[in-house]
Amino acid sequence: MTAAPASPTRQILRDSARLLFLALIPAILAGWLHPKRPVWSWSKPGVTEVNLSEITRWSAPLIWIDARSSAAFQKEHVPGAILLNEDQWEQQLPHFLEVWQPNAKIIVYCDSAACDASQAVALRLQRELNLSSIYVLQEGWASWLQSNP
Amino acid sequence: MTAPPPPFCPKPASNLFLITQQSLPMPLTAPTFFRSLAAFILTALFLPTFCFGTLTWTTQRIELTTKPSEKVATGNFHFVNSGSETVTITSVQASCGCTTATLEKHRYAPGEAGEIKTVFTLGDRVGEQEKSISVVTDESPTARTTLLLHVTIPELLLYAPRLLIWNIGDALGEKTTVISANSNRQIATITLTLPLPKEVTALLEPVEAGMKYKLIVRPVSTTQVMNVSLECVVTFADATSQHCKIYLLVR
Repeated sequence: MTAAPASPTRQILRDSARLLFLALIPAILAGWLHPKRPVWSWSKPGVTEVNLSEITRWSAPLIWIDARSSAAFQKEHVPGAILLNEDQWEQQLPHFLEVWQPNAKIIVYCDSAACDASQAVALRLQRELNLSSIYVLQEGWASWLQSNP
Repeated sequence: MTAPPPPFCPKPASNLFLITQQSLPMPLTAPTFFRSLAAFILTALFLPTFCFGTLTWTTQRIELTTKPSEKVATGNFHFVNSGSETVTITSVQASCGCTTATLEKHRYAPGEAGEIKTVFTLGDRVGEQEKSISVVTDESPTARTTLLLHVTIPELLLYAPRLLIWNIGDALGEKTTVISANSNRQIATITLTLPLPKEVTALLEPVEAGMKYKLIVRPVSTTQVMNVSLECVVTFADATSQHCKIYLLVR
């Protein structure tokens, strides 16, 4: 006596699962042993990112924070922006607090999408000063330059 | 309709083998299949390593914890060209202006070792910091190898919060912030720096002696904008000291 053959759908699903499992073996080995495997990293929960077109629709007062280096800020920055970076946080923070208003939205930017200084400054303002309405400019200074050549 | 099993395989190990065998002229037993699979995986994994120039890294992630007096954190990423061709490192780029990454030279012959020296200037940063360094070689100009420098900068004091805000016209109520020692350090003394700003009154009280202190602040007036700070000096049991600063605003 022979067992009844499985339905074609079940057989396809079973074979697909086996193929996926077999593909998983080299994937795990490559992730573990391959010399060019990507390095694992953790990331903190980030501050909300906004783009320039969204910001232009806001009616609330804006405070721009330039999280780049002092040299980059001195060269050029968003008009009215305040320099606040973690290189000289203690020295620069009082100036930010002088202009801070409870109803203002704070937008932090750094060089481009590749930099992490804007997220770091925005997170620190939230954590250390317990401030809200803080955003990070998507693509940073590069996007400002693109819109304001 | 499902095709019946071929006669050379009365009890197939799985339907997958059945499908495979139907397309093969020779029967494929399970051990042969797994041997072939293992050979394929190993070949696929290491073919790029041995056939071309390639950099093999001792580690791609370095974890460091700084001491309170340190201004920089340094980490060296070691590599060896484990391929058969010379490799040229075309670009080494750090994610932050606060980090420099330098190479002694750019071209590495097969078997030659080298290192990328990274220096992270701490500035006023605290807590967990992760800086990445992207490395590009002529072997694969579009692919980047990412190196990570993970630095923990212990925060000696914690504030909850560091900014106290009163609205203009608010009642002259007290607000409190708690200053506590981090990293299991013991506070020996904590003193407010005098004179206090004339716009506020302040009182420092222990919550948990040696660990946690409460700073109670009351503004003299909330009728106009105020922007002042209170400073204190914390001396730890190991004789090191740390300045603290609390910001007070009326807006």
